[in-house]
Amino acid sequence: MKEISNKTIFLLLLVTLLITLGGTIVSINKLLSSEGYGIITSAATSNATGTASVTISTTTSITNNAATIDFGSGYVNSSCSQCRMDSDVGQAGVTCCVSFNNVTSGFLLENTGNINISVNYVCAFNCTADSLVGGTKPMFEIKWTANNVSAQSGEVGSLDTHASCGGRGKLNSTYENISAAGKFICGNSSANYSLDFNNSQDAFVVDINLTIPVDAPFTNGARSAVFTFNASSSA
Amino acid sequence: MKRFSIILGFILISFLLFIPSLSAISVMGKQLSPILYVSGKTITNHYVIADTNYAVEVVIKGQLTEYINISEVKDNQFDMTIQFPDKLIDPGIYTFTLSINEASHDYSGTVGSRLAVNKNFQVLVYSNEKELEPSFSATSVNINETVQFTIFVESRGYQDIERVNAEIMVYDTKNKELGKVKTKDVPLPALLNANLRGSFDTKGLPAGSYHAKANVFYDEKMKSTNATFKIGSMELILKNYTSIINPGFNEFKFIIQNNWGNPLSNVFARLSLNNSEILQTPTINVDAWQEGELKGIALVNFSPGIYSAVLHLFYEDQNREIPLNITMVEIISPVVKEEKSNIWIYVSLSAVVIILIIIIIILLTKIREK
Repeated sequence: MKEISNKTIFLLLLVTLLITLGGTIVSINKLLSSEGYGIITSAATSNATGTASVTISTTTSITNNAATIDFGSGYVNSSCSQCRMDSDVGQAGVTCCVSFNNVTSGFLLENTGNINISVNYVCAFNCTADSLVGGTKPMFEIKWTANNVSAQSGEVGSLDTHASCGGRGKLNSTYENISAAGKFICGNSSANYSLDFNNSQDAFVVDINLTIPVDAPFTNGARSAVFTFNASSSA
Repeated sequence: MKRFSIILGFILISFLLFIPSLSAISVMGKQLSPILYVSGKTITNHYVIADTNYAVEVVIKGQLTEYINISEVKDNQFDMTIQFPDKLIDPGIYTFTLSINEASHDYSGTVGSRLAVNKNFQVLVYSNEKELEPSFSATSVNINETVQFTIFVESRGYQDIERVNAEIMVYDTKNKELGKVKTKDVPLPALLNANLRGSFDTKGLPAGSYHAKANVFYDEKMKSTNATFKIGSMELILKNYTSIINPGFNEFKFIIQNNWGNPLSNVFARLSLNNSEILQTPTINVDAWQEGELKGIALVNFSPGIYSAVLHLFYEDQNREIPLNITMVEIISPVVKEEKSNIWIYVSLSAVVIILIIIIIILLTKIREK
């Protein structure tokens, strides 16, 4: 095979350069002559004014992703002093709680609006351990925990990655007695709307502990307590 | 077939038992709060209730409820109308709540729940007297320029103010009064606002921080408000720098502040230590009154001790020398395990490559021979 000389390579390069330059010039000329591209300029050639108005509404919204805690019906094994049913961790000593449902999910409350809210609860019907269960040392208690800690599934948005309600993960991690009057469990009445609407920190779990002593009186019909969760926002 | 039906039924019941029940309630409406009380004024806002599967009840609670009406809820929508009376009420902040509650329904389970959403409103009732709220601002300027003062006055009363004006006193850091400025008189109608403006010539005043006090006079009353401003000169102020170093390579940082009311460009620094230049930083631009960071890495191999250094700051076409002290501290190095040399890895790899090349050459030769 005959070797290609440097002269030929140089000529080829020159031809390539000429084609590139020619192509660029032709392209620019076509662009400038086409409609709407008379000349390249940064100044506006005409103007008109218009008014756009927009009203953004606020949506105050709360979702309870587990609306009931149903411990069901059953009895306490006579070999035990009590049956403790905790919606956070389930039954303590499963053999003590006979026929009851082993509930392991609390009320999962989530801000599904577009504005921050505060949440309080009030309780109706049988809101004390004595009226709900009776017997010796019954317990009917409440606690609430940010869902980035509880990690209860079922949020409408994605599972929280940050602590809700002002950034304290274990919001009220020890059980306390339930009162009919209730209280604020996230934020307060003084315009502290601390349950964020941001999906990463918009949920918390309210757990219930129901402890039934072995001597709890027999009840013919099921007794219940009903919590009303109030979501409040600015208006 | 019968067995299949039983299994299907069992699966359905299990599904219904274990699926978490869900409830929700929402109310959507235009943001209104805080509402300014204006006697005789009527405000109507529309609300839409959503997401709930239950009947709802709409309730108004709190103060001023006698002036608020809720229309009948139709298709989960309703209007709230606020009709303020034709009289003035006591000044203050009033609150009321629009509450949308799920009505009672059958609750399955031992512990049931229902939801409610509340919208909390504030109504601001201003004074029946002539009242205003001033806020005062002053522009920072360069040396010999004129400071512009602006006093924003907002009426917080239901009576028109016939005349508002202000007297502005300018002070230096030692509270020495440097001059006075008077603004024009302007009328201030009830619930509206206005600006009072004045200017102050800083000719002859040195660069530095100053403050001004404005006494705002409105009819027979007076309120005071304060503002601060700077008079700038074209200079860079060194705010902080790397003062402790170790033998070897060190990163030097110099935090500087532009004391000029315009951006400074081409800002860089040279650092001389023990009479020899060891560092020149890259060039940066620093906006008016803002801070910037000059930094660079230099090799310093002096014995421990305190050394005098000179920082030359360059900006625009000017420069400034700042004497510094830099302390060299000996590194107390922790016991470091001697790293094993990696040379044997490279030697082995090279050997493998050479052997492979030899094998390939041999194979090629054999193929050619065949």
